[in-house]
Amino acid sequence: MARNDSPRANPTSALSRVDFAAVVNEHWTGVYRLLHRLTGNSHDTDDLTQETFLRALNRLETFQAGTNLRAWLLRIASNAFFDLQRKRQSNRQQPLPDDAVSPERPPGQALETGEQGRLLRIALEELSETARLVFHLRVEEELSFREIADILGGTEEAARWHMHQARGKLLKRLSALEKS
Amino acid sequence: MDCQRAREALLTADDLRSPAAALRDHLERCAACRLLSQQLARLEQDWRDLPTPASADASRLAFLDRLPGSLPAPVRRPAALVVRWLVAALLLLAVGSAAWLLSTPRAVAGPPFIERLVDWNLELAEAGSLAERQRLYASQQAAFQAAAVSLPAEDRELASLLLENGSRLAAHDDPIAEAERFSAVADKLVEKLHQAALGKDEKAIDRYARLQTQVAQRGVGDRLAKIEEAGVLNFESERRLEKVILRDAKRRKQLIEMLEREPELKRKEIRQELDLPTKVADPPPGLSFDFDLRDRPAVVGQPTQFRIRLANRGAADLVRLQLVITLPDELEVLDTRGTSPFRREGQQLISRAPIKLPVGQETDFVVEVKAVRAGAAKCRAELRLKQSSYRPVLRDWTVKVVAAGS
Repeated sequence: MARNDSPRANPTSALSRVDFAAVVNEHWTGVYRLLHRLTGNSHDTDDLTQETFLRALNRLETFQAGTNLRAWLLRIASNAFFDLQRKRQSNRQQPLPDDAVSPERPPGQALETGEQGRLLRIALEELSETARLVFHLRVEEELSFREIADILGGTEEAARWHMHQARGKLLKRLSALEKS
Repeated sequence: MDCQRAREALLTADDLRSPAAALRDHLERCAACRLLSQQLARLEQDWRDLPTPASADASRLAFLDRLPGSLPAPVRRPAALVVRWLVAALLLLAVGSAAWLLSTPRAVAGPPFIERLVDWNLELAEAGSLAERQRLYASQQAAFQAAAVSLPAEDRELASLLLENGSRLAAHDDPIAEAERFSAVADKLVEKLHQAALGKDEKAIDRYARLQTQVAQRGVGDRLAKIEEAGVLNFESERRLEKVILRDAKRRKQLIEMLEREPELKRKEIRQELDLPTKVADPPPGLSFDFDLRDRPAVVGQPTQFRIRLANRGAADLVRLQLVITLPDELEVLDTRGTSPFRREGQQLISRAPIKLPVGQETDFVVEVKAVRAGAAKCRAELRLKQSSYRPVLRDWTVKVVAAGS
């Protein structure tokens, strides 16, 4: 997974730090929605969305004017999510610390309104985290596979393959759920 | 294009709403592939239509609320870096020599040594300035290190922790880091208290109970009050502060459970020594702190919710309120709503942003849970606020959970 949140260091970034509140207002919901799809719960989503904007705040100088700010934020968010996953996996191999976070609830258990939304969330459990990420970035954020590949730190072909997996599995699972 | 290729093309398509010409031709001729295309398009539309969780807006506002008015540029001056490296090197040296000295087996020293080390730590923390701390540190550090070499094995780890804490207190004036380290010392003292209880060593029980209270109150508690009073925190600091508060709440819970479980700790003096609050403490005048459960009883497997309502019926604003809710394993948290978003740590929920409750106002916190097994689920809410000097006001309640259909 990509580790580079700041690939385009630019000392003359056009994004002023005082504009940051406007950035938060414009992009918070998009970042929040992505993270909620990935984590399936509002507690981790709250944490990770804050973490994303904190990281962005500390790296504003590295953002290159004229490039896709939304994609830059979504890449930071994705990295924050995978960092948390790694941390939890590594914690499981060690004695449980006092303040360890409880194991993740599967994405399907979050509160959701509407039957189709509920089925979609159950079907989501079929997908790997990367496939979920790719599906969301393409369908909701309408990023190109090139941009998604940049976020993943992989190739465009790999991004397409994950999309193939996501569409195929979601469709299959949803079809089975609707029949049952 | 055949059906197999059409299917592959659909599953990897850039945009299902505008298929390539060859695929479009196939779809016009093939009903099965057209159906697949329509199903995929519906799936993606359903995905886009999923609602944004209601908590998104509250967390955005909370974040903006804490966003500093003028954001400092993250520039590290070379001089500051050199100083940090020097401080780090000195700390390593101090910690290393303490560890070496403490690992050397020698004769036995008297028990007051740990008490003196604790006092020294607290004096360092309470000193008026960094210069004063450095003076205090320098005046005692060598003597403590020399005396530490003859400590009995069971006290070495605690002494090492206190010596390291002393060296860090002398190097930095950072109340959050201090609260974190005093928390570690308090945790270690609880561990020692537990060992003493298991060993039925009354003298050690009295000793560790007393030391634990000193460290928890003057070390952790006073640092927390200092941080709260200072008011201005960056985001990382707030998260660290939340963790210290949670750790404090957990330690208190652990002590209460130990007192209930260990016969050696049942003496009234020990409860007094540990200064554990009664389970239902008096809130400050004017504060109403109530709990209400929607479904009585709760049913296994069914979601239910409870509401914690805070109201200010007094004559002065209540400020900097922080709420910690501890739930038993019988209840699984599904969602939370309220004036302040919650952070979740295991079975504990902690309000993120300090809450202000002006005169005459009230605020609700709703916790959506699912009961996972039948029984009596004991819940606790701890409220800290400036008007109670940040000491917790407690509310305990029991949720009766019954099996479905009973």
